This record gives sequence, structure tokens and C-alpha cells, in this order.
Amino acid sequence: MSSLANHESAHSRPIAQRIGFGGVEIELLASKPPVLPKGHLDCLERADAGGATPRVVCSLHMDASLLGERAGSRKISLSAAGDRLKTPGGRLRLVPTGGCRWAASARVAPSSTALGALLEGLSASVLERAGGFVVHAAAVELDQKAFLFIGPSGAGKSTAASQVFGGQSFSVDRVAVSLTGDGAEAWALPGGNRPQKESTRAVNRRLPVGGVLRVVQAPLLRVRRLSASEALLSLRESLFATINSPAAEQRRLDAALRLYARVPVVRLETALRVPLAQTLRELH
Amino acid sequence: MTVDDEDGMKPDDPIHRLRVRQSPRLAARLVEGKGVVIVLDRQELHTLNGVGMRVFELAEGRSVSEIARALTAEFEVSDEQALRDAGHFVRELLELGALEDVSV
Repeated sequence: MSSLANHESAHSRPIAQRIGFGGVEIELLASKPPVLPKGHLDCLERADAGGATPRVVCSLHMDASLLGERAGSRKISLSAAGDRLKTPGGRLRLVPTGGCRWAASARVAPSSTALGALLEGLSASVLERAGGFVVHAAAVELDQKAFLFIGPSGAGKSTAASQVFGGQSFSVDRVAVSLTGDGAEAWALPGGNRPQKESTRAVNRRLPVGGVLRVVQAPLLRVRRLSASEALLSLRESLFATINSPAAEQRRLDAALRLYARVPVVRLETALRVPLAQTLRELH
Repeated sequence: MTVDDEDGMKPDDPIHRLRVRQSPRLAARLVEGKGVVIVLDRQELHTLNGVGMRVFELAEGRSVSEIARALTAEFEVSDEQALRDAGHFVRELLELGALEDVSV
């Protein structure tokens, strides 16, 4: 364990890539730069964030024996202690090194898909430990803010996002959220069944969260602020849970409550083809 | 003759002797007077009203009768009403997996 924990200061392998992904700065140590899938390349940001940004130094070993795992699966699992991450074609061990810093040792199949899945699991797990979370949402950029449409499958998230005229698609499926001093920031993540070309216009961007809207299909447009308990339930049903333990669940509830204290969380009742840009602008 | 109350519980219902505690596999928060409880293994979210959340909080190895006595003092309700409410909520929370029976 001590050798792993010392990676940050005493690693001997060259840094192959330093990337920002889902609100987490990841330094990959490998013998040669690994190739990332295009969907993930679209979601990279410059890795020059401030000191409060969660950071992982990850030694990466290509392991061809992991190639045979089922392609297309997105299943991510962690050990009971939450320190061992298993993704399709990837294995990772995570060790805290103090503050918002971690060291990781990973084995991954030599394929961009496997590496992408490993990065997704790694960033989501680290972000959650650092007080943030990944939320299932269609998001739109409007007036330099990200607005997150949440709800169960079929609620109309993507449809609502497409009705924000003058806005740009920020993410079609998932968004990483971290909490700042008095607000929250969003990063687009890859994924979704219907990737939209225009979503790439949000590449390399972090945006303040302008609001979270729980979408409900209804005949008329109506917006209502959710109570704290309603918001907690709506947010929690949309959060990805990487660590399944009571302590991690308490952290997720606390993070959802902190988000509620920082940005408007509303119930949006809306019908098809109702323009929503003005509604978003009036949230504050 | 013994008359059932509206929850189908008799005054000597065995549930009143049940001892219960919170399941270790859950997370809960009290928010603006309401409880939000997540049962991890079922991945279910539930909201509890003030009385339900208090019953949940009091379930630290206490019997339903003991919980009812605490409710009587805190909510200014009759002994019968408190016993009925405590039994009702404990039964529901057991079904949700939020409480577990530690009688034995």
C-alpha cells in the first residue's frame, strides 16, 4: 500500500496524459499514451484546475487478458470498502493520499472503450468522495449556465432540453456536478442513446449550474419550487451511486441538500413544443 | 369481547411487544420536518411525516410500547392513539426494510 500511496511524488513512469474529466483531474502514468474514445475526448477539459479540484495519479497497465469481457456493458462495481473498482475491461485500486488527492493503480484491456469505461468509473467514484456526484440528466447551456433536466426514463428530459431555443445542448445523458463555495459547477459526460453533434460545442467547458428541473409531462406549462424533501427525492433518484454503503448514501443525501441550497430545484410541468428559454431565465 | 382498532390491531396485539431497531443498511435525513429514508439493498426512497420519522428515530432496540410512551409525552396524544400510531408505523417500516426485529 505504501508504494501505491507514494506514486504521486515518486513515480518513475512518464506522464502519458494529464486530463480533466467529469470535474476530476487525472494524471495517467503509462509507457505510451493510451487512446481515448471520441465520446470521451469530447468531454475533456484542460487539466489546470485549482487546488480544490479532486486529483488522481493513476498508473496504468495494459492487460490483454481483460479483453474478453462483454463489450457494451456499462456496469461499474466497487468493493464493499469502495477502494476497488471494476469496470468492463478494467480493474482499479484507489488509495487516498490526503486532501482531495488519490493514487490509483489500474489494469485495463488495451482498447479505447475499456479505458473510457475505467475513466468514467474512476472520475465518478472520486467526485463522489470529494462531495460531488454524477447525475442522469439532459443539460442545456443558456446564458453561460447549465440547466439540468432530470427525471426517470420517458419523463421528457431530452424533449424539454430541445425546447430551449437559443440554448445549446450541453450533455445528452449525464452531467458531473461539484459544489463550489456558493454555487455548483457542471461538466458534460459522454453517454446517451442519441448523441447530438451540437453537444460538442460544449467541449472543454465547465459551467455554473443555473437550475435543476424535474420534468413532468402535462398539458400546460407550470413551474413550482420543490420543497427540500421533494428535491432530495427527485435528485437522489437521478444520481448515479458508485459506492453502495450507508456512509456513501449519507454523503449523497448531504450533497443533494447542498445543491438544493445553492441552485433552484423545480418541478417543470410542460407539454411538447412549449418554448422553455424564458422559463429558465426566470428561475433566479 | 375485544374490538379491533382501525388498523386491525388489538390492544394486546403481539406487535406491541416487538423490539425494533434501525436497519444498518440505510441512510436517512430529517429535512424541514420530514424524513427521507433510503433503504440501500432495495434502492428505495421513502418520505416519512414527523411522527413516522420520530418512530424511526426512537427505534433503538425499544419495544413498540416504549416508543408509544415516548410519543405520548412528545405529541400530547392519548396512550391508545400513540400505541396505534407506533404499531402502524413500526409495521410499515418493517415492511419497507427500514427497521428490523430484534426481539430475540
